[in-house]
Amino acid sequence: MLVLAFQVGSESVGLDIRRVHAVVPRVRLQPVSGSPAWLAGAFVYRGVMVPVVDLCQLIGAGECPPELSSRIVLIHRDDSSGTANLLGLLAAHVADIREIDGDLTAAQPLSGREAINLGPTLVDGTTIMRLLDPDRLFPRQMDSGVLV
Amino acid sequence: MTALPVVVDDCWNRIGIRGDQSCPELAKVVHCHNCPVFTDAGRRFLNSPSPPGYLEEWTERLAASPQESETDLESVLIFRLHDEWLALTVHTLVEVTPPRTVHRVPHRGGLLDGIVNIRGELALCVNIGRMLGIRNGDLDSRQRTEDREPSPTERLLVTRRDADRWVFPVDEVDLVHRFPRSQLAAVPATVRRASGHLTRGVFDCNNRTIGLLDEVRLFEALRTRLR
Repeated sequence: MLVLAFQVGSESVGLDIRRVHAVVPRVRLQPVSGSPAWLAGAFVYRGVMVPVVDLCQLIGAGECPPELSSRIVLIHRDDSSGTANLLGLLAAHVADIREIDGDLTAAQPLSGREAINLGPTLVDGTTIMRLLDPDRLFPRQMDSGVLV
Repeated sequence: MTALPVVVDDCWNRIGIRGDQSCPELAKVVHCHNCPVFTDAGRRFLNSPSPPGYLEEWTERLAASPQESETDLESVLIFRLHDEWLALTVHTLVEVTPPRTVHRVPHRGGLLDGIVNIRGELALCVNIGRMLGIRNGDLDSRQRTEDREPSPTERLLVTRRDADRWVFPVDEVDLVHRFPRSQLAAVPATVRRASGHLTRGVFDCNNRTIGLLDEVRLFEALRTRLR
């Protein structure tokens, strides 16, 4: 499976490239007042408002570093295509696309008791890669209406 | 663009593939692109903080809607035969080369100028100007003189469609132009020439009216008249 590889805190994370609409540079995000810290803000992408989630904040690893390789991964929140209903994921070291053996069904769960689970794990050479499953990452927050 | 941070030690520019190539690592890695030093420098560059103005610039760029462009575009190469500007779709084009020696084929005249060597392969060189009825007699006779000095703008167009490979000498090659198909107008009825049925239409580019050759009919005509 071809994945977009990036870094969230100390974890190496992959995202199935079929979920990715585009990778864009970091931009000036407009803060959303009263939102949790992991909602980094929103910006205008091709005339459409896109909320951006800071994945580092989401797992409690502080703010995403202000580096050139920190980028916003735009994914579709549903099966639609085009620029409607996009969601931005802010992550670090977004600079690689890699072929990984196995897929979501081969992935094994690994999680701490309280931490937010980024997704199941796959072996990537000598390291362990989290396979990000956006559908499972946010259901609770989306229900609360923050991202809808 | 805003200025990006500069990498301090650019050994690839000094002793690497862009420098004097004296780096001992080159024997192992062949090209700087394969060298871990180069890769590390790339990573370091990306891990440096973004320069001032970077966020603002990208915020502005991404906010803008992409310009509505016509989707049905056609790419054509524009060239000149004598005083006539013509165009051929780039799908049939293989390359444009400087003029080279055309070896005449004994007992074959007419449309066939001869055989020309294109990167080790022989291709038939066709006088497309005569085929379209564009060149006059003067130019044709001038062309026959093989030791004449070619003008600096002359080129050979190498084309291919299916298995057919043809080379056309032209007087000048302008550029590849993209235009929406809707701008293609019908050939004026006043154009009474053999080329009429080989032209798909005309379009305007830089205040010139250019005839777009019909590649299907053109290659068919070449095949029937030369094979």
